[in-house]
Amino acid sequence: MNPGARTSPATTRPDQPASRRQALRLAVLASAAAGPWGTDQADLLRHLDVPVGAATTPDLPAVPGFVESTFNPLVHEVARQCLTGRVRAGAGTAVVLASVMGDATTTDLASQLLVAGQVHNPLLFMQATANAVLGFVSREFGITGPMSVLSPPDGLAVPLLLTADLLLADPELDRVLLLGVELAGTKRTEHAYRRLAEQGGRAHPPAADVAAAVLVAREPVQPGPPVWITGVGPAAVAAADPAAPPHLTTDHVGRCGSAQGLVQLAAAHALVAGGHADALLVPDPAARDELALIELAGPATLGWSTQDKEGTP
Amino acid sequence: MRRDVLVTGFGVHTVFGRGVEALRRGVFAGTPAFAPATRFDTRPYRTPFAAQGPGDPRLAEVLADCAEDALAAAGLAAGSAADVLLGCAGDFTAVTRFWRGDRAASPVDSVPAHLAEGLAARFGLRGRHLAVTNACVASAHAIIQGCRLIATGRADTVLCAGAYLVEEENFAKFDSGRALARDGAVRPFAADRTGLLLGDGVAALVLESAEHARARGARPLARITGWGASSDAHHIAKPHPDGAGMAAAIRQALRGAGRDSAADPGGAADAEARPVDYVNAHGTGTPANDSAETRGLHAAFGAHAAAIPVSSTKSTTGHLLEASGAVEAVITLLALTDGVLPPTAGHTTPDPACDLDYVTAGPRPAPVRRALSLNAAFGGMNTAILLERP
Repeated sequence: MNPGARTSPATTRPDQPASRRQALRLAVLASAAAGPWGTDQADLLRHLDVPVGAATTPDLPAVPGFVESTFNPLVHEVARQCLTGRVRAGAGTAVVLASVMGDATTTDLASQLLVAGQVHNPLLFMQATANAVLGFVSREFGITGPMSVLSPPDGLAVPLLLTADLLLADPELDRVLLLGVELAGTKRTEHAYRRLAEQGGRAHPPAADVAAAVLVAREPVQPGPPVWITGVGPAAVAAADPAAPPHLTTDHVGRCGSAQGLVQLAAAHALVAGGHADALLVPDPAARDELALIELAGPATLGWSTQDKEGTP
Repeated sequence: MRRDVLVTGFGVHTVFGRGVEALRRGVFAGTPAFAPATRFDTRPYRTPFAAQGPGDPRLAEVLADCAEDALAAAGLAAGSAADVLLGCAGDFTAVTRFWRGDRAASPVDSVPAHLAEGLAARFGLRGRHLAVTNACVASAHAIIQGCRLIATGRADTVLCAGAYLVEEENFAKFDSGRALARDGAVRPFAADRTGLLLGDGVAALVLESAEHARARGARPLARITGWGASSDAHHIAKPHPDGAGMAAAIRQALRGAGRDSAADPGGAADAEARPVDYVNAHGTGTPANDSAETRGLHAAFGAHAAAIPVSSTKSTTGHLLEASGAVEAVITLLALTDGVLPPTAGHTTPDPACDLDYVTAGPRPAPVRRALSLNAAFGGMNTAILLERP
């Protein structure tokens, strides 16, 4: 099964350095994505080549204390799917969340109340930053490692992966949960996106609220064959190498804005981990050209075997 | 081997004005700067007070001023390969103005990464740029990420900044959360503390690898030898009452200070055992933070804790939100270089739950070789940055 994956020749391979390619060595332990297609990986894969209908937000379990916005339930849902059964309580896990616009629903609701002269709901004070839902996640899973929130200028996936690579250079950390979330445009953020585009920016709003998560580690965890992120590199890799893995791109899951690359990475991970593809190149259409392609490799491509572990990047 | 991280330049702006002398006149003299805010109508709120400078400057412009000062102090020319890491949640005045229908408002200023991008473009900084938005530890995290980039050889120079200017959106949120001190005084660690007040704060620091600085003849102002970041895993808004997360961040910073450092090859255990000479505390003046932070310091330093001078400069500057880490790192650096500890203003009534040496009687001369800057934020996030004389 490889629905929606378009095969195109490329000049960059996971084992073949290219100009400005940055090698990474991140074992992917889990991934999740939630959006108009639903909240399950199976739903996501089903819609790689079957367009979702209207751009709607999936049904999400409420998160106590968080109101008005889907930002926090989305974060919690994809975090829960990745973390459950895969992390130990303690300081070895870091969490990094990225969003270009953040929880614009809450920000704009609070601002409209202010402009209208109405009293703020104190709950908006608590959820005014993404820290709060990360605090909720940290309590639920006993995570005492560092938690950070980033606002990249465009695509979320590569800044998250580079941050994970940086954090995993710390001997005190062994896993990093990467979270990306974008909400459908509000009147203000739509306006801001347009102005940014006029200035050459590549960020754009998703058609509906979306989130994705990838749990990465220095080393893979048994059971199951490892899937590695082996590098990020230029997008202009379309022509010369017939041996390169195929690209995974899909527009059918709906426009995911700055989270598109991360959503596609979650789908690619599911395909490779499920044995439906040996390796995939994952474009991030929102990223700058030089860092718009993510390389994902499974055991066959790397020559990995459970006996000798050779071939790990 | 981990590469050594130096601070080679900084710029700073607070309620006291732009630059180091303003900071010395205000923060190091222990002069609180709280007055009724004038940038918006404060009548709907429980208190009018904030540490707000004159006028209504644009956040991006003040940020550029501080970056310009930092780069000039470091002797870095435009066009440097430096990365930019900005601790900032965006310019919220752009949000308010948008919803008020102000057509002249630029909503892009509300996008944090746009401010980082603008800073990089303005000074021709050719590295990557990113905003860090996790509230009151945002610019501390920016500094820590900058240190990691340099220490691991991924960057030679990083401009780390933090920016917040008093505005109505956050003022209203903190007011609704009943977090503001209604009487206009912030009294960190005192028994009669009632809350925080917001303040203007912007700072930029040039972090640089020792090799890079040496090669171009730059003068180091301080070394950042350790850093720590942790989570409480306790509550979405309140700190862990025992300061467990803060203690973990401090221990991590102290451990890191000895690990694989080119300039200080002693073991991590040695580094942990060595005391620090000053702690610039998060010290918000809220009942929950200050007692938790005190317990965290006790947990981290044990019997040494009582002998370590601690102060909260939020008692004079106000709470600088995302800029806290950057501005307070600059204040801590000045304590190192000047040999003077800034006082905790407003500390008139001791609290038995806060039993450390809080530098309460004005500025205190002290030989400082090693100092910690601490911050904490919503969600139970904690940071510790260890600075040493070069």
